[in-house]
Amino acid sequence: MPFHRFVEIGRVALVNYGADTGKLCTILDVIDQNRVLIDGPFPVTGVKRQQIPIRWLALTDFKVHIGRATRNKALVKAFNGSAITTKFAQSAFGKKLAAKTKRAAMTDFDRFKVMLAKKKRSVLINQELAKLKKAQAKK
Amino acid sequence: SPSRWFVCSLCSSRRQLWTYSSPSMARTPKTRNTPLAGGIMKLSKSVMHKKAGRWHRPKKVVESQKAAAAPAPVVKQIGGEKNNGQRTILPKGPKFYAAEDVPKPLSKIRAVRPTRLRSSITPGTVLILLAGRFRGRRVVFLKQLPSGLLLISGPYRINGVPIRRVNQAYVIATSTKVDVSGVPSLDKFTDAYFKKPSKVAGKKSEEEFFAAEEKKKEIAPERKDDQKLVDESLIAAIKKVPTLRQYLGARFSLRKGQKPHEMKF
Repeated sequence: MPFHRFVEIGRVALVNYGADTGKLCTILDVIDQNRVLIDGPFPVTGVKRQQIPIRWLALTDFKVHIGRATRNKALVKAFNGSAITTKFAQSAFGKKLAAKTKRAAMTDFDRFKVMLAKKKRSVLINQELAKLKKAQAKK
Repeated sequence: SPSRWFVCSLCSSRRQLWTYSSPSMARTPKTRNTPLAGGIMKLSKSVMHKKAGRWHRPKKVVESQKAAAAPAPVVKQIGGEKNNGQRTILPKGPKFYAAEDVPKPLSKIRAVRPTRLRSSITPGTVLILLAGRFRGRRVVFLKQLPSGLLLISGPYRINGVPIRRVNQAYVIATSTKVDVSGVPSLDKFTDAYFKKPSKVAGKKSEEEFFAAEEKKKEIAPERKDDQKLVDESLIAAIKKVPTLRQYLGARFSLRKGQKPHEMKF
């Protein structure tokens, strides 16, 4: 099984640990085997330029075309040019993350409404299933 | 705004200074002093006395400290030629002087006020009762009584919970609010309204003692009327929100994998 996501210059990653948890960042430079230099860019994602252990990152499918340790202005241009934020939100990873945060932010009333919706959905599914079973039995 | 965390400049260790929910609740005085490390301030008490201008402030005279005015001597008119016409009678001193120093009792400065109400609980908040006869029910909060207990109502027609008192400690406040602007005045609901009549402790005869207690608890018609009065407007407001009536009628319970400290209510 080949790898598709690499720790490389321009790779967009999600910070999984530390103060910037949940934010996207771009890998600008590799420091050593365990650490990389990242930047949000700060005006776009809120992650300041810093070194970070690779263990704290979750790599995404996206890559930005930049040179080594690009400065802020060029980085913002490249990042926004590739529309990374919207692309990530539309990706499976991004959608799952959004669903997770939404679920965590549910209030007691929301949970109740979800329960009602799930019940309705299962009723519809079971009705269809019953129809299919009936059709099958007739054959 | 003041930082919740005190960071030691020497060892960079952090200490949480206060655990209030908002910084405004921490009554930190505005001082012209700076902390150094470990709770030690830069300027001493005497230096701060000068700096804050405390020498300049007028002393507040506490009523109790004012010495009671000594009773005035009484001047009595007396008869008799050689008796000078009048006598000045000085007030007598106390008959008893304590042999030992009497310890002064500690001052009782305590304002009697209802329990501090959590900021998440406002009139109309849906509460989840955690204990008691109606545990698991979702009810509507109406107001806080002077005793500190919370006045709640089911409403009765929705979940069987009458207008009742409930302790704040046994309640989870949800973020769901019901519009209670239409609810009539709740002034008649006081702690005295709910107080159980005290049972007169008397000697029971043998027959009474062994007789089966078949008294049915009769609810006074006034209570029922009050319940209807309050619930009418509540239910009208609840009906306006879709599925809110079902929500209040349902019971709360924890499901598998749910952790209350990680849940948002």
